[in-house]
Amino acid sequence: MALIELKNIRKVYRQGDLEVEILKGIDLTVERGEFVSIVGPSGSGKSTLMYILGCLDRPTSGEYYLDGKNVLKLPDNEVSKLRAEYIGFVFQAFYLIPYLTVLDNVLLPVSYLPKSERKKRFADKSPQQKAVELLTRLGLRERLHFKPEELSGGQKQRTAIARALINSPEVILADEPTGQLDSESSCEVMKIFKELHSEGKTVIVVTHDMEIAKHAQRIVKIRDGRVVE
Amino acid sequence: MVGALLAYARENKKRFLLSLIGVSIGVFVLTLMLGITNAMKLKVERVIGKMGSYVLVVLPGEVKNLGGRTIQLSFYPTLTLDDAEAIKEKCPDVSAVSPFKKVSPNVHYGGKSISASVRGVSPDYLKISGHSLLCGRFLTDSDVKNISQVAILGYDVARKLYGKTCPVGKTIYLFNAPYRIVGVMEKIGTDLSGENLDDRIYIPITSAVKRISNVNYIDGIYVLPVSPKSFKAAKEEVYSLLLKRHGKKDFSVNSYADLVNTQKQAMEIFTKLSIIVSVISFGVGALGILAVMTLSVYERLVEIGVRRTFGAPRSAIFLQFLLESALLSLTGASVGVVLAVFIVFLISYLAHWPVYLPFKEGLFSFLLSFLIGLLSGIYPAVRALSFEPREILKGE
Repeated sequence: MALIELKNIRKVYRQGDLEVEILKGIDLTVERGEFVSIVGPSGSGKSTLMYILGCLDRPTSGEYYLDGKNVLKLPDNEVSKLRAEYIGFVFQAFYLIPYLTVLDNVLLPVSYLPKSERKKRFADKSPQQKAVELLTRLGLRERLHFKPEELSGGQKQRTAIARALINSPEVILADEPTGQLDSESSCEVMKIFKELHSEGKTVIVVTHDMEIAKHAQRIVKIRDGRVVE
Repeated sequence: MVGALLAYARENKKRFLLSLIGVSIGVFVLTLMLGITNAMKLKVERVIGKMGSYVLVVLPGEVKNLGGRTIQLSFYPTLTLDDAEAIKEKCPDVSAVSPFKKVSPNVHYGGKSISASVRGVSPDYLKISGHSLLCGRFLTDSDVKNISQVAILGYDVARKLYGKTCPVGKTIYLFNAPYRIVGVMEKIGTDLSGENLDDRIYIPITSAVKRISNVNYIDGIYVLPVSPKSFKAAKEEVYSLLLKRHGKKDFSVNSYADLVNTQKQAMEIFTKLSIIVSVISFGVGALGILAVMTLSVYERLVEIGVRRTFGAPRSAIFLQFLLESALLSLTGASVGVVLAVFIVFLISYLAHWPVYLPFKEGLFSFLLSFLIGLLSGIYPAVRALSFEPREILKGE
């Protein structure tokens, strides 16, 4: 069974009397452990697709199975749980919380993991231990108690990646993760994604930059709301 | 969750402080006024309790309650020791009678002048007032009959002059006349008007009237009915007896409790006023919290979005902002309660009231502020839910 299965996803936005069809029937399957990049120019609908993939938005029609669960049939609460269990988000603008330290930012998702899962996933290590480990691995050992404003762009994104990994989700969903980074930091971030992939994580990167997309194992091109390749 | 609020509060100290002040003042005023009112009530109860809630006071003239104060409207020099005598003899529902007169002689001890309030009373005064003696004896009937030069000292007077030893047998001088000390009263404290009852010297009523002031009228008569039930009957007996003896109504028969309770009216006005003040400050505090929390929702949109994307259900976000408001309110309340408890304690100490720590009132104001925090948190919390993560986190 595929980890992610989208069937004939359509999304229509209503702007006054005007109906704009952003996604025009998308079929997409992502297997466990794949590294996929979704590429398309702005306005192609890739962001909308990413929000649907991340269970943050609902399509107008179609079907979405995440690990066999019919996401679109679940109530809001259950969908929230799915997000906590399955998906680690990485954003272009990092979205770190400015008044929390690096460590606390990384720990933020832990409290939203359902209790039973929390016990299972933090059985051998406490969340703190795991956060320190992740941050150490990402080269932020010396920055644990820094505030985000004291970090460089690359460091911020690495903090965000640690946050996405803290709950050990199956999928890392990254939206233009290198959009605000210089080329050196971009390389670093993509290297981290490759490493995660080699460790068996499923990584989905949404980007407009073909160079970035090339790092992935599989490239899905989107244009005008359709998968073209 | 609490940690997040603290971290956020640290970044926005001034704003949080301002919103706390409103609640602080509200809780402070509420606790303070409830505390003072109850401390005063306690005092009133103690005073009335000691004196017996059914004691009658005959005064030579009219007494009226005006604006919570007892005012003697008129005074007649017609109430005499014979009236007291007659009440004791002829009223079957009366068990004890003590005439009283306040005199102001120079009081000397060992060549030094001391300040004390001297009162002439009769032996029954001890029973009526409910006080007891620390050492020695109180007045006797023969003291009164013989116009004896004996005195019973109040606790503070005895303490000042003789320290801890019992001064029975020693002598003090009133207008240079020697009075033998026969007893010392126990410690009583102040009455409602703030007069220190331990600063008194009791002498036989006859000595006060005939030796010191040399008049034949007295200030009033305390009358103790046989039992609380016979209060009304005793009042009527005293009234008709005096009316017959004087031929006109130049006196009034009052309930001691009523005379004291007039203070309650003043207290009630005070209570109402304070309730209004605290309601206003609570309102201001609630608005402050509402404003700060609403502002914080808008400043923390990214945080809301991030929390939602990482799996926070709507209920968790709602609860977070609600609890943050309540916490904010409680922090303010703590400051107010601590301050108010301290001040009530200080006031009751300085006013010689029974020591009173208004914990119950503090707890009440505390809970109220928690409730107000929750209430003023509802709007910001609802506001926090009105944003979808995909709207907040649209790529820049």
